[in-house]
Amino acid sequence: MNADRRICREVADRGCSSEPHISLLPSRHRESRNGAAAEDRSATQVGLGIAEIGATVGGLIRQGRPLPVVLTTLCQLFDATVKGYSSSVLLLDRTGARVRNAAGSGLPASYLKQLEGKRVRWVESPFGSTINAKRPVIVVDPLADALREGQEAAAAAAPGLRLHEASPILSLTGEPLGIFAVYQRESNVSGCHSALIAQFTLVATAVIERMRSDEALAAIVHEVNQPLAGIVTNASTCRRMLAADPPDVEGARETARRTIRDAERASEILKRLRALFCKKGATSESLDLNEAIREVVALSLSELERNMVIVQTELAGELPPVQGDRVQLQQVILNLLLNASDAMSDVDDRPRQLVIRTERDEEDRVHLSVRDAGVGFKPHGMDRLFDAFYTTKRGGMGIGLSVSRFIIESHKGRLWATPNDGPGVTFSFFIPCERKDVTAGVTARSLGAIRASAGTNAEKRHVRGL
Amino acid sequence: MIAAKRPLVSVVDDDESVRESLPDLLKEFGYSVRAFSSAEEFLASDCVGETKCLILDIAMPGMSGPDLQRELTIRGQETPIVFITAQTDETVRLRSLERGAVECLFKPFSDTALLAALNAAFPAFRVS
Repeated sequence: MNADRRICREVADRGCSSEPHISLLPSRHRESRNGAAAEDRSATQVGLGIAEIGATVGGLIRQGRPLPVVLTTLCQLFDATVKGYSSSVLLLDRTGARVRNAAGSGLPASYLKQLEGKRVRWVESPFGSTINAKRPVIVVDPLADALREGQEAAAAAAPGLRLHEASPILSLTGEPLGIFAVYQRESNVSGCHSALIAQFTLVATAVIERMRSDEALAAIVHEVNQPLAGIVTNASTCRRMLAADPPDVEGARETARRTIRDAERASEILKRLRALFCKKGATSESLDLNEAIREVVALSLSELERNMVIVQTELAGELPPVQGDRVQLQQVILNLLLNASDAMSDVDDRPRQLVIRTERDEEDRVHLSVRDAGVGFKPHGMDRLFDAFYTTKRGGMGIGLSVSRFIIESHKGRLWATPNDGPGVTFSFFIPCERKDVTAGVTARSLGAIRASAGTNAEKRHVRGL
Repeated sequence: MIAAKRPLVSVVDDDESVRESLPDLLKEFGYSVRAFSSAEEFLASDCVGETKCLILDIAMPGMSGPDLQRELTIRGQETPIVFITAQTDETVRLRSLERGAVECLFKPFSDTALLAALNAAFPAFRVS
């Protein structure tokens, strides 16, 4: 364990150095050197070049095919190119720690399904190793196979299938996006294929980067389309009221007022989103989440009281500081409070109680939860909450759950919702506690651009698994 | 041409500015209007049978627009549906048309596009 820790640190310190270094996992996995081993014959064996692979996959993206379909096709291309091997792409969530989606064509669907939501263990598995070292890892010992990690995964894998090489898919800024994994199907095949794997990994990187920016764009478009709909409808109504005989001047005045208000709202949303998605000058400070909560509660108390919401705070006594953007995190908290309040607006048969809790867990993370007693959601609808971008509340300062999730994940945390045993829902997130030797890679910029950010330069370091 | 009895159009959308603005426009068209903030609220109301056309948001917390469409089908309630959505995804639109929606409009939509959809929903009550 100690040796692994030392090597991980070394890799992080050296940044993008291409110098090869010694075995990451002693005697079990061996790293490929510069991604191309001498025995690699695959690139010359097969005529399919990277340009053709890129063109095929690019065509699918232009057709608007979903990411898992595009990645599965990429795996099919690989499998067709190299006989005896099967490939998969593990797409990671924004924390880079959990498998968000696994695509592959030649692997059992049950195995791919079992990987969903699993944590990529940093040190123990080839998947963790490749992300940790930011280089491809060749698995030389079948018994050290990732498929054998945990009984569930082993049971799901077809007999004889074993991991051959895992290659990290990294963003331009070095964030782990996924893993391109190649499995050996037949025991009598040989060849390293590292050059070809490197090419496919490159295409997978381009695909995922492109899809991520599309997702961000879709979130912006959705947030802005809501007030635009109000503007167009109000202005149309206004024109019709004025054209009527006799003209409805009072009605027209009211709809004109709403048009202006919605336009201001659209402009406000754009300002916030621009600040959020602009990657220059990340603001990251040490902050006390309890204090941030108290400020937000104080700010929103009048609104909460107007909705007859009883706020109960259960804040942990000695909460360690977290590293992050205060304004962004407060936006998330505010959003959760206002959502909880809205969810209880029709509740009359029980107290409209809202409980805000903080606590520290044994993994050095700070948890925050907001529990309401509202109408609740069906359990199967939980995940959709975040995809549907549904919470742009008129007049409120809410920024939408999808954006909240984006913020939390850019703080290397997670945001989720669970139905309560009784009525209502609990929204929770965690973010890691501040570490003295690590500057959190907060990619988004502070919403409060006006705030002086002296001494918080945006140099990003990615230190993991220490 | 406004008929003697104004047909009821129900708007179901969790976005408050839509619930506020759309009813006024629909009233200008000559319809009577009710607005609901969720599919559940609509189902619990006394308007389900009376509604001649539903203007329905796709992505809502809890029961989504397509969920409500399925529920109405199960109940044998064949109300024409015009979906509205802030996600400009052509596949979403095509899927909703396949499921029998009259139209699927991307927000922001023009008054003429809405009117065309409503005229398609019930030709007996044409507005120009």
